[in-house]
Amino acid sequence: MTAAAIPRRGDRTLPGPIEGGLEFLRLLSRRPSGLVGFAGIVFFLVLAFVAPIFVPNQESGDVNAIYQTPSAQHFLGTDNTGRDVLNQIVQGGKEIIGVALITAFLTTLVATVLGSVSALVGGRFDAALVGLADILLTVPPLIVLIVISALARPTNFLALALVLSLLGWAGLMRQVRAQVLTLKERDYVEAAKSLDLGLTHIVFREILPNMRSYIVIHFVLAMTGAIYAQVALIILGLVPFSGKNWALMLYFAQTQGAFYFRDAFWFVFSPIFAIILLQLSLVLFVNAMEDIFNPRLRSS
Amino acid sequence: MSVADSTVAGRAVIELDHVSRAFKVPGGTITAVDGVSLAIGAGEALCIVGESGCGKTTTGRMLAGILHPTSGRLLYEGEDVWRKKGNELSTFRRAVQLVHQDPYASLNPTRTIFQTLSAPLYRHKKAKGNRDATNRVRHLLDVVGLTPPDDFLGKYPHQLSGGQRQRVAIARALTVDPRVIVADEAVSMVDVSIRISLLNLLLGLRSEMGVSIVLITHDLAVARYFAREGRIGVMYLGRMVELGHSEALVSDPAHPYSAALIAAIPEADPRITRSKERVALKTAEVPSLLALPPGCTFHPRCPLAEPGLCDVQIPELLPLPADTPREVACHVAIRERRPAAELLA
Repeated sequence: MTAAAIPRRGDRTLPGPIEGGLEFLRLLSRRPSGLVGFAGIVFFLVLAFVAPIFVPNQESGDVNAIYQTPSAQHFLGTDNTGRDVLNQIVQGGKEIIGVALITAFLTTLVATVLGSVSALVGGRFDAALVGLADILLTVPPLIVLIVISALARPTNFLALALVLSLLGWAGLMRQVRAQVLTLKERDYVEAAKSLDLGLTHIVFREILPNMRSYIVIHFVLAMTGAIYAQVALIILGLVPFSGKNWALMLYFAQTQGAFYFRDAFWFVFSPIFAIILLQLSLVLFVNAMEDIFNPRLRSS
Repeated sequence: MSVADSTVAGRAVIELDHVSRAFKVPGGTITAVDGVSLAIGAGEALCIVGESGCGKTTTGRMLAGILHPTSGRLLYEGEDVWRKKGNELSTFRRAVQLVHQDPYASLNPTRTIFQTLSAPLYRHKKAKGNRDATNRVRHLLDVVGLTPPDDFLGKYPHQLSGGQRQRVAIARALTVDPRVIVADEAVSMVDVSIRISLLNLLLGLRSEMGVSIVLITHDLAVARYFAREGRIGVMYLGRMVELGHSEALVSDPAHPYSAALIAAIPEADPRITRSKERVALKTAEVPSLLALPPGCTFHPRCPLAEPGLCDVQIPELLPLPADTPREVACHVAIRERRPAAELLA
């Protein structure tokens, strides 16, 4: 036996960040579409959170240059007040993606905690939570969102994320609950109990790792849902946002009658394409998630 | 000696004292185990045999403290386990380990062999640091015959065969230095060719580490091999019908049901099998657990059954006078003071 065979933390127990990252890319490359989705997500994250640092926010427009078609100065043309559209696309992703991330994080967290606790505690607590989730699942979400937004008037993006999270957790909560109900009866969980490994170990080491793919997939799907919902609310004018935001661009395009100008094509369609491409990247990425979390495909 | 089981030699480690377990099902209540008393001696090899639905698994799970009995007591070192709390209960939990039937379900698919085996070592402070844990895991893998151990540390369960997984499951049970291992059909799902080596592994643990092994099986041939120096308990429809040294039980079964089971074991030589005398049961049909026959549950099938006795009175497990300590639950055999095998011949 040589000393080299002694497993280090890096290669046996927990993968280090670099090994983990390489493994992630290796598994992702099994599905080219997943790789494309991942690249798209990285692109939009850089566009929304890194690019604005280098591109100054252009506040004032130029009335002499409204609804311009793409040119060397304005790659995506200009809007109804003569502001550069590309500049708005760069500035306007932050809020959309930020709200989506916060909403997805909140719904996933709430759903995972409530679903696990519900399955483990059982009894009336479980019945009450499941009942509540069922009610939330039966109401049409957009209508409720409209009503809540109209009443609560969320004026910053954190408030908007909270409103969107209110309805989003029910589906995953029921899925997590169902998963925990079957997983907690597995032989290896019974073995862990009889080895006296403790509840924390059982929940976080034995049960939850078997649901990682569920949870991450839901996280990404919750992002797509949150993006559509906030875009709808903003276009309908129910969220009085100021500043730069892809959905707000569409709101202005609609209210300022940009739809009636042929040259406004670039102004109207740029945010739409940005939203579509972002959503497409997320969906393509999600499809590859199943492979990434399958221990059978992992190299060892 | 023990409270309720007179056949055990020496001091009992764990003991079931008249335990019963009922399950509610749609359509009524099933009594899976009915008044079973059984003591496990230190370093003993004991087999519980019976057909499916006889309550052998339920008995094993109650022995391991995983299932709470509906009535009766589970004793560990003579003390009632279910009255214990906190530390004492977890001491008992660790003292008795269960090896499951299905090696494909008993290991967590997301955890490597090293992770599975090191977690209990860390938790119970049997290993300090990564290097120590690795050495101990290596040693355990060596003990269960997974060599060279380094080949297995980083593997996931799906990369191992059924037999190898079962060895990992046994190694996992050994991490907490148990006194009793309950192996529930632990060899029935692995290939026949590796069954014997797994049985030998379990027997080796018993002789080398002094662990008592309770093997639950439906296969009397396996039981005869495994418990050749120990005892066999035969269960039928929730009750223990015969309990005694396996040699005596196999050569001279005292209960008509055991006699029928032993007569049905196929021999390797087909000529012997064909010429073997079978016990002619009245019917091959096993009664439903939802509507158990009154009296002795075996009476509708038993060739020795006497109307007015066997279908009325539940027979108790009583010692049958013989050279070896053994108990049988049969009115006729007890009255005639002869094992059923002789009465049937």
